[in-house]
Amino acid sequence: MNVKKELCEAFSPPEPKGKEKFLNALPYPKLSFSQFVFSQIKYIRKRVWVVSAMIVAAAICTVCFKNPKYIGLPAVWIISSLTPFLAMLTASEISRSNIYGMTELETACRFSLPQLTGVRTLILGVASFAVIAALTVISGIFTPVGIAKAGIYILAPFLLVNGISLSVFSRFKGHEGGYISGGAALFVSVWGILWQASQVKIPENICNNFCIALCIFGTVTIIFNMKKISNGANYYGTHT
Amino acid sequence: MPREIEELYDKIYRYCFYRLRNSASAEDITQEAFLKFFAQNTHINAAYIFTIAKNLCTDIFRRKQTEELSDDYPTEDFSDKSDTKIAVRTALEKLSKQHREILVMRYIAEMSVNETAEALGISRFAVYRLEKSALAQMKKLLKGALK
Repeated sequence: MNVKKELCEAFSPPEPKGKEKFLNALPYPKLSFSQFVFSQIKYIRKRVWVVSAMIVAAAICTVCFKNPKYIGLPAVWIISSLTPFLAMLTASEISRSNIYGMTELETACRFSLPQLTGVRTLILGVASFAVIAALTVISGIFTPVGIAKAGIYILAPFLLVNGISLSVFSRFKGHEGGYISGGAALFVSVWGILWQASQVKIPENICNNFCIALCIFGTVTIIFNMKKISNGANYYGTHT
Repeated sequence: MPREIEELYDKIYRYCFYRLRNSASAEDITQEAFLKFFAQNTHINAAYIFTIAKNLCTDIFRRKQTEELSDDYPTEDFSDKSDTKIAVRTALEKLSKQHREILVMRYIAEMSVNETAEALGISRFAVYRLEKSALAQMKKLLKGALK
């Protein structure tokens, strides 16, 4: 016997009669979904926008200086070494509402925390996509590497650090999560630069497959942890 | 109307009906809880609204103890009268107050673990623990009743 199901069925009450009429007249705070989305943009910390702009500017500088040492694949490596920091900031922003119980909940009060996390993820996802697309286009156009290959090389560290950071933020609360995630971003970034500087010759197809594998691993980790964060946020609002 | 407000209305109504066994009173209490909450707050807090409803139900019970409400307070019963359902209702009444409260919130009002924990002022872990032991006791009681 399924006790949970039986309990639910044994105590089912008659349908409430005045529900619709009452709820339609209820003076709850009304906010449209688009207003809600735009209201959330201002709650994303300025450092995310500043770092995004700095990464794009650094990518432009890398390809524009045309130092013979950094033309072609080395330039893409340098650009891709910057993306872990964007990934770390994005992941910390997505997890921020869950960790601290933010004031934006109070202003966007008719929406639940899972909806709020979803909207923040959407905003940050669109912003990160724009930055990654810009970096890929810059690398693809100004280096002989090609857009597809540059895209994979830039996406791999971004997705990897994003996956690691989300996984860290879903397990550690407060500052520890930030430190671990920062360490992961720094490690991946420095590893990328050192790899490029070490001049180790690895067959191109192995390198490409490795980056594709990292992209897949990062994507799976992101999906898994976003589900976890979304489930953890399954309650309405916080105390004033 | 946002889906979460409708869902919350249903949860609170189910809880109030369980406590009061009167649909009109349950609905009145549910609506009163919402109005009281939104008179002072601008955001939704399920646990807070639920606590208001719970206190209002307790007030009605206190009043019932001091006043004679036999005629103007008709009680309704749950529609399904099958043996299993009656056994489930009887078994629930036999549980301790704390166990009963947990099962009512989790499975009759269909509240989440977070909401239950917040409304009862206990940790999520305590909710899981109490729920597990309450379900085990229910199973034991039902096993004996349905033999």
